[in-house]
Amino acid sequence: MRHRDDDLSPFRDDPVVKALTGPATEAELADEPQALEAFRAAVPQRRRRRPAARIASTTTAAVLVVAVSGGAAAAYTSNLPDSWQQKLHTELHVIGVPAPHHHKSAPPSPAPVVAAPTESLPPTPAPARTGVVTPTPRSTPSSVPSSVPPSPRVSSTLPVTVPTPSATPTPTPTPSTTPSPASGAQLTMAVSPGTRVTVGTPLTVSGTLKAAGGTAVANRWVALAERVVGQPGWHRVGAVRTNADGAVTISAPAVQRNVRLLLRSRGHVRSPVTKVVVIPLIHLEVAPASAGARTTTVTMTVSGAEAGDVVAVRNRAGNRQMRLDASLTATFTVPASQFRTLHYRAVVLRTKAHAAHALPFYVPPSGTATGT
Amino acid sequence: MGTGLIGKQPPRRARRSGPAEGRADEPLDDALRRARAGDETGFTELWRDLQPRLLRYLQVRSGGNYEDVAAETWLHVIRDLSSFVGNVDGFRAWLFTLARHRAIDAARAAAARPAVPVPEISELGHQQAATSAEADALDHMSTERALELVRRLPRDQADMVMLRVVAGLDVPVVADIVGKSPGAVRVSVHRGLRALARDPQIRSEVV
Repeated sequence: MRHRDDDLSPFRDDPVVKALTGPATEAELADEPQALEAFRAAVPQRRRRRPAARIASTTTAAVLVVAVSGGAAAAYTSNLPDSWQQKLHTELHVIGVPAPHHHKSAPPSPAPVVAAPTESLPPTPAPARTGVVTPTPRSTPSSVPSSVPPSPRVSSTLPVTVPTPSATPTPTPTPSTTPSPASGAQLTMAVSPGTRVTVGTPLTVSGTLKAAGGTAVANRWVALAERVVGQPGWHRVGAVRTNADGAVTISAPAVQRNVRLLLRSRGHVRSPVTKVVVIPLIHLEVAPASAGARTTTVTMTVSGAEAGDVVAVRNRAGNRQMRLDASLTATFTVPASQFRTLHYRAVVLRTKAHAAHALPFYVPPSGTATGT
Repeated sequence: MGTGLIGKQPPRRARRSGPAEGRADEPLDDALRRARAGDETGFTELWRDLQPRLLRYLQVRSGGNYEDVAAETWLHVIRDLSSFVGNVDGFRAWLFTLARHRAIDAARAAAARPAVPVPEISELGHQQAATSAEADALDHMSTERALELVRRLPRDQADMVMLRVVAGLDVPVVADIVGKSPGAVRVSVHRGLRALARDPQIRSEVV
């Protein structure tokens, strides 16, 4: 067992190191026939090479000649030891390796079945409807080991755009009521789909006008006014007459920035002001990392934000912030790993015009560069 | 601001030359190449070189079911070997990454379904056969004792010591596998080995 770096040289003669790196024992190599059987079962017959000259010329190969006598048929006919047969079935059932049949009560392998190798990112939530809650995918601890990159490989068609709006609108609008000091009338207002909506979501405002005694007031004009953050004054959006129940429904334009809404009627009757917070949309593009690369490029485009807004890419170890350019885009260079999936969060920081929002993503393994 | 890195820096080795360079003389590279092509002798050479390291690593990392974890790891390797791209250094790193993750999965499964492993008759037979050669038995005992001593280290430190010393992985690769910086790995391994070397009880036990 070799070591290349010098940092271990002071311990070369240490008894523990010498014991740890001692020669292999017979017990450690006892499973060689089973491993070889598994190899034969997995390698198609046309790819398997057993050149006679090599076998005849080396001691190692002579051992193999004996082992070959079992052949791949052992695995396919369930003749391997149960532990290997069960594992072989788990891993290679797709090519027809059966499960052990003579120990039906044998417990299954504790390790979960590993998914077939794939070069794509894991399922990401489809772009959600505006105003609909989209659960943010979170990686569970068990998913990391089980979704081990199958093998370091060159990834040519890597991923990917990860569009993920994750709006979190308030599911049930809360009507609010305020009495009119002048007439005693009340004007309630509710906003649908909620007070936190994804950018571009059209709003519908409904309200009810009631007199001081609680009776509905019909056929009265009710106007909807809005005040967009960053813009001066209130602006009238529309007006309708109340129906027989005193109710009105007015559509507001799709929101692009945080906005305050207000219903008002004649006689200084006003509803409470309701603030609607806009959640920006994050679009990510993770550039395919070349084999062996230690970094990759992530391009973040944010809808509903403005040039100069601060965005960030974070992981447990650090935080990198940038400002959006004029095209509402920021490009980050983040570390990639050859063997591990690295998880990050793309974040848009809150401003007066929109709420904060975060989108998890990860960079798949880049694989190793082509060797010899 | 801009394009700086987040978290740990990329391994120095990768920045300098890339993992595939300068390894053409690796004796196992040819075995790996042949194994990828389906050659049994190539696979056997790989297995014989790496299986003892793998078992020793998993004895520290995984515990009682280390042989099962090793078998599952090899089956995973066999299944995806044809699509592997890289040299034997990359292969070694891949193997131990898989083994580590398998060990974590196995530990979780064992925690969810506690069981007392019982050695099979064939395993007992193997152990008895292994003691037939006295020198081999002495070496084996020494290795077993050393593994037991490493297990006394903090878990992460033991993990890094085994990956570094037994698996023979470079510091940047170990750092990549365990998710720490190369400096942290280097310091932790050094401290672990120094603690083992200075322990008088250990020195008296491991000869």
